[in-house]
Amino acid sequence: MKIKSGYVLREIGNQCVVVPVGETAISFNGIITLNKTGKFLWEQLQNDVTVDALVNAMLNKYDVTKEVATQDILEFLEVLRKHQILVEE
Amino acid sequence: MGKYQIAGIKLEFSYCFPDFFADRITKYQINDDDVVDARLKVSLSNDLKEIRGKFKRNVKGLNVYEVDGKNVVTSKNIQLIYTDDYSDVEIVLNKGLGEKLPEIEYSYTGMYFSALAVKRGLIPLHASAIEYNNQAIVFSAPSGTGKSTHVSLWKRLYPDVKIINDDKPLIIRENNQFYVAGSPWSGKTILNDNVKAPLKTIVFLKQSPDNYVKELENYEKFIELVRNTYHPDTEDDVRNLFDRFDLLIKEKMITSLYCNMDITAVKTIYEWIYGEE
Repeated sequence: MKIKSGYVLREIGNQCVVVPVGETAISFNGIITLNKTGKFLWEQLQNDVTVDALVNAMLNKYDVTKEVATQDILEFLEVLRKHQILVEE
Repeated sequence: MGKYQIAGIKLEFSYCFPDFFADRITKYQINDDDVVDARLKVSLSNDLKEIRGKFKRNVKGLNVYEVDGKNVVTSKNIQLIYTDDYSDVEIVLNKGLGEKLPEIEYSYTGMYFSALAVKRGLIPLHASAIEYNNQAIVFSAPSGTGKSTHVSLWKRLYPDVKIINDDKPLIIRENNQFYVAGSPWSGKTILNDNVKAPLKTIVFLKQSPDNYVKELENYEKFIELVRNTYHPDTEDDVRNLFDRFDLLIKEKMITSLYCNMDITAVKTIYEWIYGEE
């Protein structure tokens, strides 16, 4: 799975904001905010990866248990699915 | 057809209906022999036909084709023919739209002026902008929040207040400073003026029973700016626009005002902007 193309990610202080490109409406609400972990996962998902690969990447980067990492990742993927920005084969 | 200078952009503009423009645009007129930056032309057709060329992309279910170096997109009622940089835009409207035509012309030309403005480094903001003490205060919010109402309260309390634009003012970067400029696209009212004033502050309005200022984190300021601006359709343009947002956030006072329609709303934000002076 990976993230669809056409999003611009900006880092502002401790927060990340992701905005879709190509919406011509003058008012737009499809903005997603990410924390540091969310940003990390977002970057991993620029390439086609599996849940296992995400869990391993997170364990290498952060001091968390496998259970917590898996839980966080599944929740994160659920948010992406809700916004319909995940491409899954 | 005429030539106009709007927020520093010299535009050759030919429109079909004077209903909206006649009273608004004369203030922006320049000499006929001036060299323009861009051309915007509206025409009418009884028989709007899709022009196909090399497929470029799909935008909201409509195919954009490349024809003679220009982009062409056709829907049931509107055809747009434009260069990548929006310096040459033609809008063809279906005559069958009848009495709605003047309003459609007005809103489409406004949208394309916003697109052109973003391409040229300006920030169009959905806002009501006023001039007070030779500086611009910008009240931004989605339609229906009460921008115009809030501004009318300012005018009541401070009769010197001038309205720069009541719907889509433009923020310009010039001489390392931000300015706010008017444009003839000013929403339902004809409140607009061909003026430019240094930007003092941007206030995002929220409806509320009580009046208070709520300070925003930088990322919240960023999100408010994103929500209330025109969205360009390429990643490069989006990044350039967001760079300008970063600079705005770094240099300018930006906050949010929770407010009702009482005059104390103005006093609350006035005190935040100018302190106890």
